[in-house]
Amino acid sequence: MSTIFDLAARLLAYQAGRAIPTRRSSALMADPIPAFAIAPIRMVAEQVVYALAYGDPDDKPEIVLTWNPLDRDAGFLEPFAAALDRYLSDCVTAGEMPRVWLAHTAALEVIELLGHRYRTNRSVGPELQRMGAQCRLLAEETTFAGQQIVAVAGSLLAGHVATGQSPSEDLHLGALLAWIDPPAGTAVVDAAAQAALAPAAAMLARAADDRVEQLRARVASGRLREPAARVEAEAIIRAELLREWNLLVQARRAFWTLGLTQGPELTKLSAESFKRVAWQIDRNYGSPARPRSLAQRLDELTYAQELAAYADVADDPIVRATALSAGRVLDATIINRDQPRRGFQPCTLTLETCQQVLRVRAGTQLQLRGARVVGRITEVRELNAGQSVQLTLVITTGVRNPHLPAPGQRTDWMEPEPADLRYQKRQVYERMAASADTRVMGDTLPLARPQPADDDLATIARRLRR
Amino acid sequence: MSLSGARGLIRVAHNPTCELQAAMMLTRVREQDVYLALAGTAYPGEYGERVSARRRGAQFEKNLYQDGAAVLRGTLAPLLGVAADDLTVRDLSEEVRGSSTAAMEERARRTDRILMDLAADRIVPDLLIQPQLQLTLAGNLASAIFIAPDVLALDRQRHVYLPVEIKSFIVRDGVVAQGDRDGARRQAAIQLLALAQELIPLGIADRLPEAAIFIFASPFGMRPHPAFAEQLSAELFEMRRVLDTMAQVRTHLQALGADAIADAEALALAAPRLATTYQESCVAGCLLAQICRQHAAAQPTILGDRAAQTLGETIDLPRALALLHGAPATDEREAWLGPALREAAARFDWSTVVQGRAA
Amino acid sequence: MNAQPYLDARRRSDAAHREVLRRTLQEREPLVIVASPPGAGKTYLVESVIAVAVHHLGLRVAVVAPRAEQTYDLMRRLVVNFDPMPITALMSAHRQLPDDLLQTQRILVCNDATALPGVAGVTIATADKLLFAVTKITQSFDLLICDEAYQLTFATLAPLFELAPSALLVGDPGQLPPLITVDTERFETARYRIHWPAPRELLRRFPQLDVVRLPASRRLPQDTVNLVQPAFYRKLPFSSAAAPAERRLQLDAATQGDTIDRALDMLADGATLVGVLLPPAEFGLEQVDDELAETMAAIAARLLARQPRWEGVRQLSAGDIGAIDAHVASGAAVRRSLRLYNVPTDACVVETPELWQGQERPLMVVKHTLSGQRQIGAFGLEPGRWCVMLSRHQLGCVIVGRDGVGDVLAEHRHDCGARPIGSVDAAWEGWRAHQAIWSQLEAQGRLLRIAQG
Repeated sequence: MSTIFDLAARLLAYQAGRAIPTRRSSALMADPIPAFAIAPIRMVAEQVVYALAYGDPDDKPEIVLTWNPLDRDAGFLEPFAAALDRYLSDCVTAGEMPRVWLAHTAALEVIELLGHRYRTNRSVGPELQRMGAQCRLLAEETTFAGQQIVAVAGSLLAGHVATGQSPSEDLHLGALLAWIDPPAGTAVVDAAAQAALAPAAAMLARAADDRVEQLRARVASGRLREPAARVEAEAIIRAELLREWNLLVQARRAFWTLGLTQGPELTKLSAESFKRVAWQIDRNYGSPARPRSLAQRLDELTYAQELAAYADVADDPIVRATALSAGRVLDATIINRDQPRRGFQPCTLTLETCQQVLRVRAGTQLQLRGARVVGRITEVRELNAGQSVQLTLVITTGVRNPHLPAPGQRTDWMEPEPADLRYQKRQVYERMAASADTRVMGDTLPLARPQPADDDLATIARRLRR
Repeated sequence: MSLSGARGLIRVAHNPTCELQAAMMLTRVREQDVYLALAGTAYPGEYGERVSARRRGAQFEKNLYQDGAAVLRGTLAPLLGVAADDLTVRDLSEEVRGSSTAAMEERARRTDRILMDLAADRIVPDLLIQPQLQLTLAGNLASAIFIAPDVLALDRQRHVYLPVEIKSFIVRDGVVAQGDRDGARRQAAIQLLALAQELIPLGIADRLPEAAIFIFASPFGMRPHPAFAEQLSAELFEMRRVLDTMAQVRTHLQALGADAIADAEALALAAPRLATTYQESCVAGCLLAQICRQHAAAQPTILGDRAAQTLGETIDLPRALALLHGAPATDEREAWLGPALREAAARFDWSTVVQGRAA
Repeated sequence: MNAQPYLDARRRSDAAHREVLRRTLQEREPLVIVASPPGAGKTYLVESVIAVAVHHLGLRVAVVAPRAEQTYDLMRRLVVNFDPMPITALMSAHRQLPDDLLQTQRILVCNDATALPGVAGVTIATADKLLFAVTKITQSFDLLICDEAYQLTFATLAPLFELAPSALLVGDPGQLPPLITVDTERFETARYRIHWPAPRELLRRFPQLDVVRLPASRRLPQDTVNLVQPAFYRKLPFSSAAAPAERRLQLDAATQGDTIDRALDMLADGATLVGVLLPPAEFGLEQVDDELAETMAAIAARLLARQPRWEGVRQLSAGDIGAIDAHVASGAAVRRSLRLYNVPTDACVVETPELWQGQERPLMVVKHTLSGQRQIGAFGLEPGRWCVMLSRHQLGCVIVGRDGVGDVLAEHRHDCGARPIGSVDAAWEGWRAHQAIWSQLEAQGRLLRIAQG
């Protein structure tokens, strides 16, 4: 969102004492039934987990936990691994999009760590390796803009509402929720500050953490018997885990309670997400490392970003208004339509706009919002000493479209839906990999192949010039 | 938790306009005590490093240092261009155990001797574990603080040591959290400043590059991610500026007659005369943030740094809201801001929100 | 005036051109990288290589550039400067050659890569077009040339290498890097930096590669080089090949004697970079500084009013003046102001640095990227952006901004966590370059301040 839109929204929220929506449409497709939620608790600064609560977010969670994750026995995770696999596999088999809810980016980081740790770990069984691969897949999916599989509640909420506090304070999910649903009888600022005192970061609260550490240390030094310590520690961890789970459930509910519409372009984002996950569910991919896979990944990310930006502008009037003020959307009236044969090319539109900020030049492609009508600007003329601008737009797609605008009509034009050239590019990169050119991926350059010639080429070059 | 050492300097660097924070560092008064003195109640949240985090960090370092620093040597060898087995090591934490001042002073003496050997081109160890350096603050020898790099690694070509900063942060696909990167780089920059101070009298400070080495953790157990070196020009610039800030605040404290303060109550009494510029980043690290936030209740910074930058120093939140609701502008900025805010606000469905609140 | 240094610079420049021709066409090295300062004759070099390769050696050459307009420019120069040679424009069916090129009837337009001629000649395309054609091209080329190579990522260029055993990459390392819109943090630590400018990544991987450094700018006067080279091209020493006598601005009409005129007089006296500063004022992040836009227009209008002449070359008109504003919204304000001063905006072009890359004008008016800001962001600190803005002129450039930039630079707090681990701190490089330029302008008395009111 632009700075001024964000400021206006925060000012209004500050004045109202509660968050206000900054979008009218949701960037997230409706949840499938059932969705799957995961609330982890991680050992601070470690790559191991104490506990996971998981399952249907509308139901009571299943729980797996260990009081001593440092003992390297990851067997306690197996029920979670089975449940996650069942959920994802069933969805993919049924052709339905899965949806995994997480509370915040800290929870996502834990999922990512589980992926790194177990995906190729030979000290665990295939179930946990598969869990690692699937966790990795979920974490990777979040790097694609507009993805629809992993819903990180804190990030989603921050992208759909504005609060009367700073963006840094919004990062605490508890504080953010206090602004979305302020408790009665307390100033919202105090409620948010109070909420921010408890960690919302997939970790035990300080006192709980210190106590569990202490219990483990006492057992290790022989000052405490393990069963007693274990019971106490597990109770602490379970309570903390349920705190995280409840935060997630509350945040998810808060999101859907915003009552945002579902724009039509979301289906494209959803299809993209599903394709990625369905393709990888049974594959255990690592990070791209070679030029081919890196280049493909860059293309995939770029396409996802462009498609998400397109969907946002197409679906949401507030996002579109922001784009308009930055000149990324064109608000113009049709002055003339030159189409000698109705329904056939050539078709040239003359548009006029008084918009102050324009980002169109000769060559710019534009799409009519809400229709597959696409054209290319061929001329930009200033009128009335620059008070307005007239544009010539040659229609390249949609000359038969019933939405092709007529003279006098006011229209919104935006950047066209991005062309999907990934298949062609993949072929190019595959060919590049097959050629094994050492300039691309070798450690040494190929040898020069001198051509015997004793000419002074510089003199020849000069002579060749007129 | 006192704001001391490198950690304190880093805090000051994040908000060098906050004199109270710098004063806490200079007077070594504990932050939670100042909170108590100012708020009248104990700080309700958590502060200080957790036992678990400390343990993890210590364990990570221990793994690197054990068995003749085998893992450390193996990690640094490719970067130093020397075979791991050829790297010589002195572990000052083994030679002089403990964290008492006497132990630190002894480690500092031994470090000094090694640096003198370096300047005299005598043989020195390639890796010096837990050396002790001193950094003079505010141009005042009495306020020197101990700076302990995890390791100093010898660059044999330049014939000078580089600080090695070891952190148990986990590198995932080459990525480390932004805040972690920031802290590690600034900490290494402070070590470079301290090392430079030590090398100046020895006449070899010009050998020191603006660079340090970092060792972070991999996601696999306690194994390190490959070491890497970084240029730290910006970080050095920033941390030098912090030293200037400390000198200015010391002068200000002296002018206030508050330079001898040694307890939280006295510092709290002096606090109204010290500048405290609340900003967005304060929330992340300062125990006093909520107190300062309350004092800044109508300031744009409440809504974040971007809002503050847009509204400038003259437009507070009530004024911005008045402009949003149609108040006439009094200057060029307001003339731009009012219509822009109104146009943006018209897009939000906020009237129902306000009514809902009233209801 | 001693012309010897400039003659020497040209000789060094000629020697570098000879080296490129030798290594590319005689030694047939697999990879030759040419680092060029602004206006060093990159395209001149590229046309020479093409002409010799095609006319003299009978080779098949493929040439790519990032933008279509750059390829058209090269075609024009080949048509005008050399006897007819087979030139093929590989382009999409929906694009058309500009009319002037069509009228020459010297260029074969080819929409289908499988139908490219198999004889000696040059095929010219945008890098993207040739990239998609790679899988269809059946006959390899003898030489691949990439112009403006620093504007292309390694990912774009790498698939093209298989087309030819020899590749010549020519580019300006000080310009804006290719635009990448996604987060590249994870790519930054990968073994292959496919998102980096192609020459930079190749030099990282093959550090032993001997780069040809073009040693002289034919565009920039030495006075500008003295400021720009140390700030932006520390690893590329160069001087001007244009003697001051060839870069003399004459203003024939009388002066009003105000600050703007004094700045213009300084240009005419040989100070080729000067600043005109308005009183300090702060602006919101998206706020347009209308007064500053008006001042930029006033400077362009005053230049025209004073009947500028490139001594010994020609009288200058609106088309010889360009304006750069890094922001589209404030650029629009400059255009509006120019119209109020009756300066035609189709001739006096106002554009962003991205669009000005590769172009030049005798006179430029540029808005300081840090003007009116209390806090500096990564956008304003990007060194390539500021470098492009300060290196488009042949005679002189007026920097327009709000006073106080020096203070903002001094107070700027560097973000120590922003860059990925192990990467170069571009923001620091940008800040250092800004600081160097500003302090030099200040020290040399080139910053002229318009009084309040």
